[in-house]
Amino acid sequence: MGFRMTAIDGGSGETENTAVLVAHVKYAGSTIDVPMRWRGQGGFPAAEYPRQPSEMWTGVWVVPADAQPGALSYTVTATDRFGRTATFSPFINVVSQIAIVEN
Amino acid sequence: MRILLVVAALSMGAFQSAPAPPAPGTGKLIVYGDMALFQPPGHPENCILRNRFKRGEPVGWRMFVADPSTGKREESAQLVVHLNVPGRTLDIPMRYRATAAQPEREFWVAKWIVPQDTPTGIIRYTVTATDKYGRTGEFKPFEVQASQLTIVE
Repeated sequence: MGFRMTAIDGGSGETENTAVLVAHVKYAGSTIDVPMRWRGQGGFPAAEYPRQPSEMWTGVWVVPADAQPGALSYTVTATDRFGRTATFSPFINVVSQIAIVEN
Repeated sequence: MRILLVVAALSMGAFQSAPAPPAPGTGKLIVYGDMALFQPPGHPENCILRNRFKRGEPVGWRMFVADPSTGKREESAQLVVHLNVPGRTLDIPMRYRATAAQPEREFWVAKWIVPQDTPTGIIRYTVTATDKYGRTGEFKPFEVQASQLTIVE
């Protein structure tokens, strides 16, 4: 499961590339913290991206093979070099939440 | 399963020497959201997130607009989806979704049913927002080829 996020400085409207992002997945009674990686440095597959995706952070969580079907909730938090923080929550529609399915 | 997420706005909880947030009524609006299959309630695929659609299917956009100085929803915002269909740009106004009966739906929505004569392939779009102060903001999906709005057979 892939998470893709961006972090924007509310003052400049630009990407805040010092931000550290973590996805927090609530699974099986606990919260799993999934660190996200800023994609503004390092390699990137040119076939997939037309340029360095410097506005993007990515994180991956592999659904355990024994995961039970059902909905999962998550949030993503960001903290930057100034200590500013923000939290992303998905839209609340029940049917749009992450769902583990059989097929 | 691959999920497209969008924007986190850093505009709260500042300390030390953080830049000051923009003065009220200034700055750029922060626009973010997602795309879903807008089948009606009760349909098994109602509001499932997706980026690949067949002709005749309802493409849905859900967007949120944040005031850059507070991080809170900018109630006065007006949003428009700009869809680059073959030969022209189609502007689709969004409507605010919350109602008295469903006040928790604090986002804007728009729907486009893929016409039968639409060629397969990627369709580019942006979403723009304007508020009562004249501030503007724009959302563009991540530049990931496989995740663009795509019409398929």
